[in-house]
Amino acid sequence: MAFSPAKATAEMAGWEPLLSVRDMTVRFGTTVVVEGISFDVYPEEIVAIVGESGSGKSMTVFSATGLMQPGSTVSGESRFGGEDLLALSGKALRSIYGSRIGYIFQDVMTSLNPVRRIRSQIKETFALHLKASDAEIEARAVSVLKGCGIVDPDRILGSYPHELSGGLRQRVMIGLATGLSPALLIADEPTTALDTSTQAQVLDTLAEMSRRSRSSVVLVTHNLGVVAALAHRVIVMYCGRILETASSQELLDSPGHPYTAALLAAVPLIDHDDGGRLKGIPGEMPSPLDRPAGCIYAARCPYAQELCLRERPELRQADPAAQTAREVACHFPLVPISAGTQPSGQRVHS
Amino acid sequence: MAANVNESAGPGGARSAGLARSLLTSFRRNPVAMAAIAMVACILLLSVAGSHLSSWDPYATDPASRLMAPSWEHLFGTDDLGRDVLARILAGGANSTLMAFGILAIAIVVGTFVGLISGYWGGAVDELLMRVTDVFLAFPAMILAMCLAAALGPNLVNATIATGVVWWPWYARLVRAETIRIKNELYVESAIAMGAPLRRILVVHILRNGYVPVVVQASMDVGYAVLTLAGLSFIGLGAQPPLAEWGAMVSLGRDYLLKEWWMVAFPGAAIFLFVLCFNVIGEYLHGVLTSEGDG
Amino acid sequence: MLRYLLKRILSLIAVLVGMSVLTFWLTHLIPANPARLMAGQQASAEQVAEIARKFHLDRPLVEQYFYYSKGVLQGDFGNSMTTRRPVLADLEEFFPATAELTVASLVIILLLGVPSGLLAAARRNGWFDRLNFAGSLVAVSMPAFWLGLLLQLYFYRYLDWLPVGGRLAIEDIEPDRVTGFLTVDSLLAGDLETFRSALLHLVLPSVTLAAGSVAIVFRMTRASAGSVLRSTYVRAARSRGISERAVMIRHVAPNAVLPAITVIGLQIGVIISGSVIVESIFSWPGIGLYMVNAIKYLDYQAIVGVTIVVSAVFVLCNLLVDVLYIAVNPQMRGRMI
Repeated sequence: MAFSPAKATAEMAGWEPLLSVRDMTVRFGTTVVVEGISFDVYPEEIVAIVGESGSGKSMTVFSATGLMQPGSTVSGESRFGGEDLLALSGKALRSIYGSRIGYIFQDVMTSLNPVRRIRSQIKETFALHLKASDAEIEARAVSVLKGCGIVDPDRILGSYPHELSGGLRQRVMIGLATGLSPALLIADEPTTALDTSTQAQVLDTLAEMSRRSRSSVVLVTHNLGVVAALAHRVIVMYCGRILETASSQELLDSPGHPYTAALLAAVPLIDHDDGGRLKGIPGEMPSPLDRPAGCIYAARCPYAQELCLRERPELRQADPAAQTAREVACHFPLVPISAGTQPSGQRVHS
Repeated sequence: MAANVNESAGPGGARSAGLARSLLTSFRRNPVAMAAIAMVACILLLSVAGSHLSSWDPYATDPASRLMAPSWEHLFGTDDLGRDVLARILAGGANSTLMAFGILAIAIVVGTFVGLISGYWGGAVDELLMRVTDVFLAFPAMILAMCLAAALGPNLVNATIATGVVWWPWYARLVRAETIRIKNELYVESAIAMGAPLRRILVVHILRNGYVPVVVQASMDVGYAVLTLAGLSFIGLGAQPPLAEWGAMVSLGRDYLLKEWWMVAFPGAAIFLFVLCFNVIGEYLHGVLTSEGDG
Repeated sequence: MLRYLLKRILSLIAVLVGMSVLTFWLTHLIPANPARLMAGQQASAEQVAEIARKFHLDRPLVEQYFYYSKGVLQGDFGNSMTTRRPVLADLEEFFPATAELTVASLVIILLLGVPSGLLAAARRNGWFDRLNFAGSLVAVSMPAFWLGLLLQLYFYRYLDWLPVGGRLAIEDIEPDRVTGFLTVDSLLAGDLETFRSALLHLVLPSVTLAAGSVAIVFRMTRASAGSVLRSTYVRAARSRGISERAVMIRHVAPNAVLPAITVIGLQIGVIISGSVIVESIFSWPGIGLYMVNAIKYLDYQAIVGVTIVVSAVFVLCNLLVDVLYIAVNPQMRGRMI
């Protein structure tokens, strides 16, 4: 899927965001795992949320759409189609899930019920949200699976999940999530559990289905290859905070945050990944139990100065003159930042 | 040579110490488990001091005061021979406790022995022992215990032996699985390679690192052992008159159930409370040990 | 599947042979002279010796076992010394009563244990969960004979709601024997009055027998439903807008019941064990009561016969449960065919 600069600059064109998250914090007890983050997703836009494992990226998308982890508390606001998803009742959320928001999960082996045939699982979901006859729903299931690149939908519908390969299961999941043309599609590491050869095909299917249903996609991934292939815009997360957001072209060409730069340096663009931490970046992510007062990345940042340890940098918009929607949370960004409180001082190279 | 291996009991040694500590703290935080422990302590104390606590002799019959309802004089009433029910319950506590531990001792010793041999040597020995275990497990427990108790002759000691014999296969399986697990760990393999004596490997390395699940299982089994034994006594294959034993007391009270209910109610309640306490403790031990790691 | 069945049946035969050897050997430890018991108190020494010869009782134990197992294979379990009838005839007479009691208990176990386990898991740590969890601890700690006697005291003596003792009241007419289950036979005979009586007689014994197992099945279902509720596919089902109720019924229940099935296999052994006690409390004329009497009178042919038959039934039930587990579990089914 080609990169679309038009959508990346949607904000400047004055479009209304489809999903608008404001100052959302997720806690487990007193432990903060996502800290006061805000972001927007525009219609038909594909946004990638990138970060190492433990950065809170999955927690962010699930919590923002009201699908909370048991034991967590969420504060803030998340507007979707005029409603705050964080304030909606379970019943109201259920009418949105499946029809207006679709989910694709990372764990392809266990995201389908093992004791029920694919047919009953797909039709159960479609029948819930559509007022249609059984025959119409069956026809829809067949056409959706065909759209997902499944050549023999009848056989697949009659199968149990364990009889299908990982790639086929994820296609079924994509069909389930996109079958009712949701406005928003949440895909949490959709290809991580698949082998390299099927990854690209499943990604193509995902892009194709979301384009057909004109869905926005929030793609959670730690694979920058996936980002380059699919995303219009990227949100870089680290330890529960957003460090940078930019169009994917911009971000891959010239990272604005030292962490983004480290990410790009650590992972070859086209590579299969093992889902682990990035070995290329020295140091450990701070424990959520012991969050530093200053910049969350300071401990591992080669450019860190005294200011970084003391004061937390806010997410600020890049220079408007540069005509980009880039935002960076860094005292000493690698690209120019708009005027205001840019601190003076020389970058120290280590 | 062996001196090198002697002191290294393996990582499990440290693990068990930490376990004991975490058990203690989690018990302290759990009021129900604490209450159960206190209760068991009371029961054990009562069974030891039992005969001295009541002014009545549990075996002295008195035709003049037979079948008396509970009163201040006889708190739990008297039975058909005029014996004080409370005194007999206290005296029976010692029997039940002793026999429950007897059952577990037989089951654990035999089971551990078979399990160790089976797990350590494997092959044909393992195959044979496990098939024998299967045969024992194929009987409904009570049926086999009845057969055994009948064969040995009906008395409390034989009933204890019979129940212990019914129980050992579970421990054999448990110990076998633990043995196989530990045997393949590096520190045991190196001890074997360095020629540590067999007895040392089995006792120091395998038993010392594998006893935790056995203890947990035993704590959950005490209650069942008491129930089975009381059941055998109830159908006449355990304690014989005039011996004071809870199951036998309920059995005796059966004939008087509709009027002299206390002969059934109190000894039965004693069994129930005793078993309940051990089950609560076993439950928490099991809960703490199996939920380790998932917070 | 066929291969699996064959393997299971072969090992089952081996276990049965081992069981019969063990039982035979054990019962011959019983300190009694079976020939003397058979001949009767007045018989002379010659008559006793004659009987011993006739039944091979003068032969070594190994040889006796050979004769015995030959008989068993031909359907001859010897004669009971107390009823003076073939053991097999006694078994045929008493078995249906125990079977009816066992089936009734299994129905109670399934109807109470599984749904309560699911409900408790759905509202974990809610009042229903806590109440049932505490109840399950109480239930597994109750001696069956005590519970049975207390139920008699309350429902028969105090409330006079339910009958106690035997399978029917004295004034009831026993229906023609078809299945041996009085509830079924009375219905087949169209005798509603007897059906009602048979059903009421069944209530207290089967509840007593089921109590402990209900608790075990409840816990098992609760635990497995708990882990299913944490699974990705339940999360995925919720993420498609499926209501919590439908998630429980269509996604959690079918997966949570599977492990419970395997537990029910083991519970059959517990029920058979318990039936010995329950039958003697409720004067239920079944195998358990027969066994207790056989032991009381050292009727060793009856003891061996009952033990072998009851254990064989138990082993077979376990095999059936395992096969059922495979049959209802699509993942296993795929692997076994």
